[in-house]
Amino acid sequence: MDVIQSYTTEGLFKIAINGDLDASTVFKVDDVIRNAIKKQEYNILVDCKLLEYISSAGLGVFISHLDDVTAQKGKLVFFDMNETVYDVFKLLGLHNIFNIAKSESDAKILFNINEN
Amino acid sequence: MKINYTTSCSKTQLSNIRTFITQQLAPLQLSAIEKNQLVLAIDEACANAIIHGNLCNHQRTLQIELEINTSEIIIEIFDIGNYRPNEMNFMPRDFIDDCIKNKRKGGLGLQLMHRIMDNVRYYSRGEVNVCALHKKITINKP
Repeated sequence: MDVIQSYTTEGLFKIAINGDLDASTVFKVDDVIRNAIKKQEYNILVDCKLLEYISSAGLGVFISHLDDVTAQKGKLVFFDMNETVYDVFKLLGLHNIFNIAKSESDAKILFNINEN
Repeated sequence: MKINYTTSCSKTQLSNIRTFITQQLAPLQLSAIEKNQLVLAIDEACANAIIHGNLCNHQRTLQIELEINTSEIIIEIFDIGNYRPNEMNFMPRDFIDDCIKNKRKGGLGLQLMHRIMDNVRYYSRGEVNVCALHKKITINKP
C-alpha cells in the first residue's frame, strides 16, 4: 500500500491511497495525516480511486483524526471510492459522518471551491 | 468440505489470508459487496487474534477452517493466545460518536463482524481459542 501526498492547485492537502488499507499498512496513512495536522493542514482530500480494500483499522485512523480536523473548522473529504469500500463505511454508518464525494471536483465544492 | 489455511501470527499475513478467502469465495454466486463483507469479517477476526490475542508473535500459528455448503458459510479461527475468548462474546454497542470524540480506534472490528455475520461466537477448546463465524447464504444454481 502506498500513500502519495500532494497539494491541489487550490492549496488543499491531498492524499492518494493505493492498495489495501488494513492493520499492517494503516500506520502510513496515520503518519501522513498526523504530520499534515501538525502543519495546520485541516482541509484534507482523500483520493480513494486506487484504494482497493479497507478494514476497521483503516476506518479507525480517519475516525481518530476527524475531531482534530473539525475542531479547526477543517474538513476531511473522500472521493472516487469504489462500491465495496463505500459499503464498509456504510456498515458502521460512517457514510453519514464523513464527507464522501463522487469525484475530485465534487469534493472541492465541499470546500467551497468551484472549478467551473 | 472443510478447507484449512495455517499461517503465522503476523500482521503482514493478513493480505495472504484475504487472498486465500477471496479464492475460496470466487466460485460462489455472491455479489462483490457480499464477498468483500465476508472477507472483511474474517480479516477482522484474524487481526484481533494476531494483534490482541497473540501480540503479533510470528512464532505462533493461526489456523483458519472454512466450510462452504449450499446454505451457510462456517469459519473457525484457532489460536493459542493468552486471552479469555468468552470475554469476547458481547454485542458491541454503537459507539462511533464516542470513538470520534475520544479518538478511539478499538472495537470497530468486532462491531463489523457482528454486522456482517449471522453469528459470532468465541469459545475455548482445551488450550485453543476458537472464533466461530456463521453466515447464511443463498446460492443460485445456474
